[in-house]
Amino acid sequence: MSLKISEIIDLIRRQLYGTRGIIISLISLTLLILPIIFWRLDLPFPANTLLLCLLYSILAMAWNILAGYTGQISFGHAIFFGVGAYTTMILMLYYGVTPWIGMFIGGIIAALTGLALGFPLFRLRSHWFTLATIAASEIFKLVFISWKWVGGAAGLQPPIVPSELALYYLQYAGPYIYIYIALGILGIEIIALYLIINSKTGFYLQAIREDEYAAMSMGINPFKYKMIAMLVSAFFTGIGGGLYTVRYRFIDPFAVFDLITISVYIAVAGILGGIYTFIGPIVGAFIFMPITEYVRAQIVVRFPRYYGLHVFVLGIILAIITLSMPEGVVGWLEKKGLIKRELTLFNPSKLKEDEII
Amino acid sequence: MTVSLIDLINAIINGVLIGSIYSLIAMGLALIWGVMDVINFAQGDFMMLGAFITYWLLALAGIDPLISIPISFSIVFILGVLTQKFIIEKILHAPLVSQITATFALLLIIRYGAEVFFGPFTRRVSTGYTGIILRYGAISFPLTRGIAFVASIIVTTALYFFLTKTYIGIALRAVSQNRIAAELLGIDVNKMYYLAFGLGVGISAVGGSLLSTFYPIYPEMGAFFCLIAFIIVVFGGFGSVFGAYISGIIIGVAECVSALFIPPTLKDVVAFGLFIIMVLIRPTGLFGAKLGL
Amino acid sequence: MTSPILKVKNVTKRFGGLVALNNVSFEIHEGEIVGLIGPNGAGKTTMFNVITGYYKPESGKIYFEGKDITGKPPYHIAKMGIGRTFQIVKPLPGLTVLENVVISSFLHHEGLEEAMKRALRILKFTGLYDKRFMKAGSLNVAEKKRLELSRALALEPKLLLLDEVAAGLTPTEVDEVLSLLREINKSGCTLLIVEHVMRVVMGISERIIVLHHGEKIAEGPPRKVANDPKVIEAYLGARFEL
Repeated sequence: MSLKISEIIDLIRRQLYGTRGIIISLISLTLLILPIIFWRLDLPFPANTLLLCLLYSILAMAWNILAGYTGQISFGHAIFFGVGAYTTMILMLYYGVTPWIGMFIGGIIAALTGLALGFPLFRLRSHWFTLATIAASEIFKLVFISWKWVGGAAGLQPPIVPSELALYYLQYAGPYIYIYIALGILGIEIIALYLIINSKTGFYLQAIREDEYAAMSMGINPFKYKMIAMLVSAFFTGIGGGLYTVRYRFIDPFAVFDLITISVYIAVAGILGGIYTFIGPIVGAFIFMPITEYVRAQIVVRFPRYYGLHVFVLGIILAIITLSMPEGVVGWLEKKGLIKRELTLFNPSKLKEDEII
Repeated sequence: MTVSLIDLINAIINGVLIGSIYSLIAMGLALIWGVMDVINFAQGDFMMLGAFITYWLLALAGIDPLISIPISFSIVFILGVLTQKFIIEKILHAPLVSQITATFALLLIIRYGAEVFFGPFTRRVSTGYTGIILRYGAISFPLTRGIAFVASIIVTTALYFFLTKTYIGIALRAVSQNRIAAELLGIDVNKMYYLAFGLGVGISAVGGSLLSTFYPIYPEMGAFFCLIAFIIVVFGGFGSVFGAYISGIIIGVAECVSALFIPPTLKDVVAFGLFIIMVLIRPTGLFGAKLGL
Repeated sequence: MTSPILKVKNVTKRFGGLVALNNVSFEIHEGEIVGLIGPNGAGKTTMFNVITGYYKPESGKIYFEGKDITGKPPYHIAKMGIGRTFQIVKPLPGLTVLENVVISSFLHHEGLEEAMKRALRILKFTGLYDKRFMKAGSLNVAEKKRLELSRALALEPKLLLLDEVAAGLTPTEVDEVLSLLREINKSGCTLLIVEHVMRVVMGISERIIVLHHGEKIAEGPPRKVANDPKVIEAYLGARFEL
């Protein structure tokens, strides 16, 4: 895929035309200003929530490449998140590598992990694949619990660094700086995924999702393309893990390899927003994260007797979506015609008949 | 670390005993899968409900756990039928994603609903015979586990007769083998689905009730047992109900024996690893058949 | 004599105890239109599946343009230049007609714009242009069959394997398909057609191969095959006219 920087900039500029452009610009502007407002007004809870929304947007978008586009529903993405988180932490803690690089390497290691797992896992069809991803995720958790070098069950935590090293180690108080980093990652991810989706690879993935058997007759090697999807998906999920590491500065296997708070949350964000849409995962994350966080931070933390309420609420949300809006929020909007599905980089509707020959 | 023959024998016996409980949960899962082609991710949580029903019956009404079993079964059976009617039925023909999320949502609602309503506490069921250990020479095991094993055998035998000797049971098997043919024979497939799901989770609840007599209960306990159940079903062959029973015993033994040799934290890795290996090399499991016997 | 574009040599395919194809051999030459007929269960679709790599034969070889393609996976076969349609149509239901064909076009055109233009061209040819933005799952049977054909054409194949393209179509629709096939053949594509609708296969084929119980029982021009007593016996009860 040979795309020049100028073409990418052109693509971005084209997105900014018309109503769509205005909406995108407004949202981007809001997101850029909000952290400053939160910081000034000393509102850590909304800021934290915003960061979580962005983090899960990153994770859910990555997840959806494999789930919505390729049809492989994984409930084990915590593997890549955890691998990314641990890689970033280990490089930082043991080798003094700056997380600016560490996060990126975390993504690569996560991608390689995905590659290795793909060989056994992609032999499985439908829910057995999903089950295997859950089992694999549990295995990773258990292994990391027993593995002394990475801290075992106690986890890892870097020391506080002096302020002149804050930029190098990305150690800042509060969520505010990290929101901008998350925005940057998300922005790059959106562009990268958009390019992939609108290329041969993106179409091939969807063919695999629709009918693997038929796809083979069209020249598509399902295993190869599932692997490509896995690499991309795991890469960005791993980077998300790295972001988690620098923000929360404490990781342990129970947190980063968790089935519910990582894997299921990611899947719910994607499904709630709409797994057959492009930005569905982001919308899903921004809807359900605030709800869950509000319940968790305002109710559960204050009343530990009701621990689990936020997940209970999550279950209700998931059930409602499954039964009444399986296409997700964005999918529903598309169905009602409120949003137009702009299919591609190159819009076929604009092609006039005489241009074909 | 030296392991004596006695340790090994004790491990095997305890493995068989605990395996018989795993089997109940797995059989329910296999039944549901065999008849309806649905993976019930919430299977372990219905088991948890059974355990809690037994606990509350004992705590509030002084009812002995063994007597609570039919009550626990009935309650969860009804819950299962309701679940089938209002949730599962709606997604039977929906894309894969919806099928997965439906039972997963169920998992979250039941598991964490229990945590919210019952509280995140661990509880124990203790009766007059709770602490008794049976000893035969150097072999020993708790009486409660022994009773549970016997009960498990009884339940399984009852299930066997139900599936092979009663009209409804045979009709159930017919649906699992060929839905359309069964319909043509006049079988009401929808009612069979209610029965299958209710029965499947009901048996799991029985497992939970039995489990509660020798194992601590807590709302999130379903997680572990569900994964074990999946491993067993895969091992024993999708949809093969009694294959699930046998392989449950095998898995129980494997778990207990391997606990002699590897650190406890890695014990579950063995089970999960077995699962992945099994799914890869022999996807039909050991006894693969559609609700075979 | 020029070497054949497709050479099937002593192919045997078993499913457990059932012998679906028994030592079948035949050749197809470039530019031909060959019909493959036989009663139900004769092994026609199995033959297609073996040629296109969905099944691996127990014994025998398949050569395409002189190269051994036996046992190669379906996507490899597609790349080499063999396209196929399926007996039970397999559209990609959640994607639009255009997207379905574009995916095939990508085989020879990496760029999205180029692939789309080619796809639109093919849709014009097969008459699905006006339906290009409809979801493939919502088409009727005849349209889905056209889509299968369009998708196979977009692969720019040298050999096209058509599995019952005419089944379930009205006579008018059948005529439309026939004229499409003739055009496709005129532009240089070799056709191997499995058909039950005798009017189609007899009318368009230069040569017919007959399978029965997995064996080749006759081969030759349509008229000769139609009068072959073995063929008539195999089809006992079926009538067809030329």
